[in-house]
Amino acid sequence: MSEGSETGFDRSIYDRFPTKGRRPKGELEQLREIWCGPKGWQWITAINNNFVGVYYVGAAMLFFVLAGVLALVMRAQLALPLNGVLPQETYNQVFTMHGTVMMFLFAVPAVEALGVLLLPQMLGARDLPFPRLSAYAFWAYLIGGLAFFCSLFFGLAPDGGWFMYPPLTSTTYSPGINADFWLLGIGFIEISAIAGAIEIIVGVLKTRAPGMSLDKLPIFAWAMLVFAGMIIIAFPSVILATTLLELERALNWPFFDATRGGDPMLWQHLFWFFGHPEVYIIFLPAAGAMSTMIPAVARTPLVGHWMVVLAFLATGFISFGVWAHHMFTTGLPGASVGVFSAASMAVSLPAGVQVFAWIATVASGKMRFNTPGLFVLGSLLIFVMGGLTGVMAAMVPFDWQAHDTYFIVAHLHYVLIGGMVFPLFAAIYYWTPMVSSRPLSERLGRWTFWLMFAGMHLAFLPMHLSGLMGMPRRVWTYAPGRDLELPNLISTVGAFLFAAGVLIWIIDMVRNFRPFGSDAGNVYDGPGLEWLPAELYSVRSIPVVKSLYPLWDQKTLARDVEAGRYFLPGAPTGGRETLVTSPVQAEPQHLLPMPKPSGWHVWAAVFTAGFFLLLTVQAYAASIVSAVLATYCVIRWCWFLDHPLPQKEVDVGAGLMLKTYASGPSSTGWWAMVITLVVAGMVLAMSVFSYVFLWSRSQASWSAPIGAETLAVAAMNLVAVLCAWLASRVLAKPPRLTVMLTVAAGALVAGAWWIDLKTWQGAGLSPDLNAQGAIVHAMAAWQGFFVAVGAIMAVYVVLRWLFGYVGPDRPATIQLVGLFHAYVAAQGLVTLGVPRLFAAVPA
Amino acid sequence: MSAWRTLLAGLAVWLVHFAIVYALPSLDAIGAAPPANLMIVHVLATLACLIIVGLLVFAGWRRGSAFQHRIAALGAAMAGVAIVWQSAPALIG
Repeated sequence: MSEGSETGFDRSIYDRFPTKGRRPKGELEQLREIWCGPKGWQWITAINNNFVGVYYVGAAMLFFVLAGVLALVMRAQLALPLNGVLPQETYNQVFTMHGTVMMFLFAVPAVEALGVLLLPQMLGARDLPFPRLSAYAFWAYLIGGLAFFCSLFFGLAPDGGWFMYPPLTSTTYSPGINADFWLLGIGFIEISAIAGAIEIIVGVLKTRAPGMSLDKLPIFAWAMLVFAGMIIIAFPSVILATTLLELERALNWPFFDATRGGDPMLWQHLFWFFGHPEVYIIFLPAAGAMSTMIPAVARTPLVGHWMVVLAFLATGFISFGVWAHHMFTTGLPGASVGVFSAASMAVSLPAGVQVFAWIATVASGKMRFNTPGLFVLGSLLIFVMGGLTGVMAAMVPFDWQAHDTYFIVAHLHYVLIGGMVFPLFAAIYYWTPMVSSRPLSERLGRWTFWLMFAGMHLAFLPMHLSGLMGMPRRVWTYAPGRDLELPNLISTVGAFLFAAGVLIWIIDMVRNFRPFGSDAGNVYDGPGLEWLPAELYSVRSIPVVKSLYPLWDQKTLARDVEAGRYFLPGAPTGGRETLVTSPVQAEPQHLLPMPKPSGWHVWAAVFTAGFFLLLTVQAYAASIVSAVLATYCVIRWCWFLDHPLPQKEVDVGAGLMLKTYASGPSSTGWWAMVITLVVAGMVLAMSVFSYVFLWSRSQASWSAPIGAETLAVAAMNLVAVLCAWLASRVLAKPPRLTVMLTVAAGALVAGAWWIDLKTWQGAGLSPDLNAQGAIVHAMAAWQGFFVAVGAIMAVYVVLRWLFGYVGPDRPATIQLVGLFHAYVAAQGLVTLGVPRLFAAVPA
Repeated sequence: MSAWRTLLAGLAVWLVHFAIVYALPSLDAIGAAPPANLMIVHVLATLACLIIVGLLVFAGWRRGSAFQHRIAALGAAMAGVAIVWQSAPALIG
């Protein structure tokens, strides 16, 4: 065992690599055959990141173009005063869809897609640990996104702005199903984002090349890790918010209705607790990409690598402390406003660290002004300008003046275009040679850059002025004679110039982008593992990483990797597999068998989308059928997991034997379940916040039934935890006992939930009575959803037992189901305790 | 997990302090306690958080120049600056 080892792994084994001698004949051909993509129409079932990543980026860019076209329509309307390009109602739908599509269907999916595409190669993995989950996330996003966008063509698109404030979006002021499309559509798409985030976290922590300890982790992977962690914390808030507003609209539960004790401010808190971190969720991966590309184009290591990592982490934390700076004009207490103003300014510190690190790297290297280099420099300039106006808006007196004016429109576009769009274009130009047999054109790339750069400033710089002159955002038109004509006309010209740049990029893509075959190679002399020679199986062998810039510092690495002289040069189990390593030191732990392409995840995505869309158009019976079918597809998808291979241990290279089965904290499935439960816990935490918030704003005192039933519910949940814990500990006994304990855990949480619900109803609390009734029933509904999932899991365990798939040789399923049941029981205790605790205290 | 705890401890203290200084004005707004008492809590919480991050900086720096120790120490130092900064509006008035 090496000193300081995380897992007891003997690091002297690394000295056996690169191995000597020739690899066996047919090994490479076997790898190619195992990892080949599906043929013909089965391309939709592909799960390799090389395919799904390209589909994903392509879909995100499609939505970027679609939302961009909406922006052009808006600018055409605003080019002249009292213009008549669009009716007012349509304009409202267009600006709502522009913001929503850009934020939810382009920005977050685009950076997530970049992660799916790049991370396996960057980390030296064959693929991310749950390729079908990535593929499911992609198809769910694409189907849901297209259906959502098409609502525009039927006049059903939402029209309440991308943050959908109630009471404007209540049924009183927004009748019809337009707002429902937003609420259910966005809620659904966020599930896809969370699925992608789980994949990225587990992938970065558990599938790195051996030796890639945290200090050698690529900066892009650091950014993606923080990004995915932020999604896990932030997105549950918007899932809860959209659920509550949809419940209010569909069932008349008054969370935001002030006449019955609700409060529209709750929406703003929940939305912005997601909405502001969202800006950094978009920015951080782009910053990671910038920090990866700048050393390559400047031909020198990143200055202050550690400080940039620290800046990512600090941004991730403090971004959750600035949500209320979107609410300075809502009458928050003065002291709160002070805290949020200070935090909003503080967040510019880590952003500043990154910017100065990039400038220092550019200054200390030999910068190449090629297309990625130009986009990187353009991004720096635009982002700094947007950041400075952000500090201005963080000052409360200024914000009071600029709030909801075009100044804020200008600020947010500078931040998002500089902080995400330009880095994304730089990334597309930089990494295209990795996935395409031809790089993009340098000449067309320069045209694209200069048109986008000039167009961007022409479009948004004058908006600062029109905003300070008093032009409010989201207006359909404006009156002549108020000096707003010229800045608006210039903005429109700029928008079309920007679009011309994007059009040239599309032409470039059509002419040169040729994915899924050979690659153009490392044309920019990048130092990361992603530039190793690769095919659909990723790298031929998984290297031992000894440097932050392996291709610069390990000169023979590419040759040795390609010759199969490192880990996993073949397919020792005869199927798809990758190495699982420890999360800190990246020491090899075991081999992870990976799935082959199949259609179940695609059908699951289709039926999940069907469930939400049918729910939106109020076809309730059909939506339930769709949900049942989606559940069936997921069960079929999972059915062939947790099957131990005949080979218990295999040689992964140089005589190192690793197990082919794992359970508990060293397994990827355990990590995925824990992260999923963190998501659930965040929704619960935000529900508790909502309860306390509504309670604190209530004029009347809230009461709660406390009696023998309360104790019974608590005891049942505690016994359920015990059963769930015992289930995986008695696996060595006859499997029937394990199954009985699992079923008992599920039955106990279900019984506890039912008794608690009936107790509230017996006390006379109905969900549409007042805010307390609404929030108590919302928490009960959330718990009920988990009880239902827990019941499905219990049935799944029974089925596996009947098929002989439960036993001590395969504990993973039982452990994960037990973990889930234990969580549901703990959640039941919270939903039992919190309402009673606060009802006992006068507001 | 201990490596991650070390790495993120300073930043977590920053977040906890933020939650406290956010909650105190809200408690003030609903009249849950006299403002003077809340101010005392604010000062004590700030001092406690500063002491903790100070210890984290010291511990991180002493444990060596390894990546996670340096990041932990620098993160705690940054948290200290931020804690002072976000306390200032309430303390200065």
